[in-house]
Formats: sequence, C-alpha cells, structure tokens
Amino acid sequence: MTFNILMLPDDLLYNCLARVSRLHYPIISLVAKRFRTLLTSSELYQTRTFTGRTESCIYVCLSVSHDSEPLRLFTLCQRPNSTRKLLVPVSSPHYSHPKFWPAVAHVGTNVYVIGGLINEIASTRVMVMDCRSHTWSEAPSMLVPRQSPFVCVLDGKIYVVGSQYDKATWMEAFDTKTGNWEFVSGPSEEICKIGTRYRCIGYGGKVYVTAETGNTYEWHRGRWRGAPLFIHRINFNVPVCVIDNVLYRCHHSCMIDWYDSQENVWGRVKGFEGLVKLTSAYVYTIAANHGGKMVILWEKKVVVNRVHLETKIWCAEITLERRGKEMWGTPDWFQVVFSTTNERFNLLSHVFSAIL
Amino acid sequence: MENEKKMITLKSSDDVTFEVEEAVVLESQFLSHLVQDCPAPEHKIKEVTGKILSKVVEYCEKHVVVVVDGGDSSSSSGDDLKKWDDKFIKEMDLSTVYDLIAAANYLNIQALLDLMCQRVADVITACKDHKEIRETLGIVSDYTAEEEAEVLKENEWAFD
Repeated sequence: MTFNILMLPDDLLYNCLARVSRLHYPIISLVAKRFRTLLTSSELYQTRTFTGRTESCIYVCLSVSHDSEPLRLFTLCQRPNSTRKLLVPVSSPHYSHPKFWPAVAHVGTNVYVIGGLINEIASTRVMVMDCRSHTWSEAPSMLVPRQSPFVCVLDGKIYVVGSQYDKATWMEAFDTKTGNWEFVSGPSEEICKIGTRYRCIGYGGKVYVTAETGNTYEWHRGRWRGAPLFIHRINFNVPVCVIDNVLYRCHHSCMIDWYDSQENVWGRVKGFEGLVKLTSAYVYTIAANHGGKMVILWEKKVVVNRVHLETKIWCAEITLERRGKEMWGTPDWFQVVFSTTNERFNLLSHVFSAIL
Repeated sequence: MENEKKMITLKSSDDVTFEVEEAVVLESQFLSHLVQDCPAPEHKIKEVTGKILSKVVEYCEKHVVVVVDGGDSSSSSGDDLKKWDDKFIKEMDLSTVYDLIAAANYLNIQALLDLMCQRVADVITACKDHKEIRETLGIVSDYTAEEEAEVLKENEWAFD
C-alpha cells in the first residue's frame, strides 16, 4: 500500500500547509474534509507563525443602509494562479445582528463588533471574530450599553466612547489581553453631554477624542488635557491610520497626508496622485496599515442621468518610503475589488489588515 | 589513532545496514542522543525502512560535507547545496517524500523535514484546482456530492 499524504499525523500536515499561501486555502479545503478541518485550526496558524510564513490579510467592512445586516465584513482574496483580487463575504455571526451602528475594532487576529442597537435596545454586547477560522464568539460585554459607539485601539486596548452622557461612564477601555473592561472618566462634563458623534484616534501612546461639535482632548497616563494643534487640523470626517508610528489622514480622491512629527507639519504623500482622476465628484477614501505598507480603498459610483447604475470599490497596496523631508508612496498594484448594482451599499466603513 | 573518523552502523527496519561517520549521525538529534547514550557500534532503527534510510543517509552525508567545506573557503557552497537539494527532491516521487517527512520527524532532522514539507507545499501551490490536487496527491475525496457542492458554493469566487 502506498503511503498517502493523509496518513501523516496532523502536526506534519500543518508543517506542509503552513508553507502554502493562504490564497490557496479555499481550493485546498475542497480536496478532502480533513484538509478543511485543518485549515481552520489555530494550530495551523501557530505553525505559520513559528515557521515565519504569516501573511497580511485585508478585511473590509461595508455598510448597507436599510438592511437587516447593516454592516458586512469581507476579506480580500486572490484567485489562485491569477492576479485578480476580490472582496469575498465573511459569514456574519448567527446571533441577531446589531441594527444600528456598532463600532468595529481590530486587534491582532481578532475583529470586535461592539455595541449597537439590537432588538431596538442599546447593547453592551461585544462579538469577536477570529480571522484565522472566521468563527464568531462573544467577548466580555461592555459595562454600559452603547447604541452608536466610536472606538480606537492603542497598545492592545480598545477605547470605546459615546452613547453615554455621564462623565463617569462616557468612556471605557477593553484590555484584549486580560479580557477586562474598565471605565475611563471623561475630560469634562461638556464634551460628554454635547457629543453624539466622536472621532477617536490612538497614536503615539495617546488617545485623542474629538466631539463633532467641540474640542479635542488628549488622554495620556490617566490624564486628560487639550490636544495639540496637529490633531485639530484633521477634519472630523477624515479617516486616519497609523503605519510604523506615522499618522496619516485620508482626504477624498486618494489624497493622503502624513504628519511629520519632527517638523510638526502635515505633508501630502507624493507619488500616487494619478490613482484617481481628479473630478468634482467626492471619492471617499479609507486607508490602513498593511504589514508596514498602506492599503487604500476608494469607492466610485457610476451615475447616469442621476440614476445609480453601479458602485465600484477600488483597492491599492502602497509601499511607503521616507525620502528626506518627503513621504513617497508607490502603488504595488491597484484594481477594482468589488462592484455592486445595489445602491444601498453606500459606504466603505472600515479596513484593516491582520497578520495570519 | 585520534584523527581516525569514528564509524557507526545504522540498521533499518528491514535489516539493511549503512556504515556512516559519526558526524553524519549528528545531523539527527534523535541519533545523536542514541549514540551518546548507547555506545554500541550498531543501531537498529525500527521505524525506518532501508529505502528511506538510504535517502536520509545520502542527505545527511551531503550536508555534513558542505558544512566542513564552508568553514574553509568555498563561498558558493550554500548555492551548491541548494542545487543539490533541488535535484535530490526532483528525483523523488511523492510517496517517498511522505515517508521522508515521517522519517525526518522521527529522527529529528529539521532541515530535511523543512525541505520535504516545502516540496509538498510547492506541489499543492502549483495545482490549479482541488481536482488537480487530488489527482497529484492521490487523495480520494470523502465529501458527499451535496457536501462538496456546499463547500464549492462557499468558495465559488475562487473559480472563474
């Protein structure tokens, strides 16, 4: 009888499969049931880590208005033996899905969906998806319910703010290592009372919170104070990201600025001005750290005679390089990764990259 | 004589014997311990056949020699070794590769294990779809038609 690969014990199969790019996992899972089971196990991903075979994998949240599932999670996949990349849906939790805007945060290999409105009631619930297996489970609940929270991540902690108007309960933080929530007392009664929308940024060891109509505060080592000017200079609705300790802000149409902390100035990232044709139309753009590179996504609606025909989402992977006082970005690739005729798919909500 | 190389005899499960230098044996963590703990001139390795043990010995002998040479001068020894590894593996059928994975794991020869597992990974990566993987690796699917259709639907994006 010939020795078949399936006669090898699991740990040796992990050693083989860990060396294959994750792009091939969908077709390998079709080969036999045992492979399908092995491919979603945490041991496989441990082996990928031990053998230095991890890859940065892009996840994207799209929001859909007036839908039973307003937030949908996708992962960027590449067809095997092709350069065609596309956003593939990731299954949602089986539980009832928050109807109103839950917050989304990414730490390590996990995606957290926090709070939101469930069955018409503001929720404390936190759902977590393991990007390795795409399985959902429930994480420790927040201390108070929040129907529309805003979040940022700093040093493995998730800071959640909003939908609570009392200074004592206004903000809370989740330590993903210990699984504990604790309140962070707010900076002032005013910011806690006036705000319904906030922007939260974790950068350089500090948490910055801006109320839509109000000041920006900086939280550092348990104390609040007024935030420095460079944070004020980020428009409220502008997405930001941090890559290798550099803060970036995304304007529309793929115009991205970086903050030069030595000179204390914002500068435009050079090198990919031509990605989007500059038109009067507003092209919403988001970006994230992608293993030291930048991934940016932008959406283009095709509208003819005021009738929406199609929405296309573009994606680009950018290599960043500091040249003296300038920051340059070179697109490694860019292409359309998603298109839909459903006009309720209306917003790129989040993008992040997990090392798996 | 002190400089004379110490020779050790390895005997496979089917009683094929291989006389090798001690340095070759030291490539295997398992055999190193065995030789240290038990100073007998001959060691029986019950879990490995003569066919596979001959490949293990061939690999270890090649890798020992290069390490010694590398200390002297030859700067291309790393490249040469890689070329040798490539040739070693290309001439091997997959069934032998699996046996060598099991043997390298048992004898604890990390570099050989890495080489063989990489070979399997490369073979899988080169296949265009699941059917080709089954054919190449000689796997019979244990999915029912309905189960396969379901998994196929989940992954339909991966196919044109």
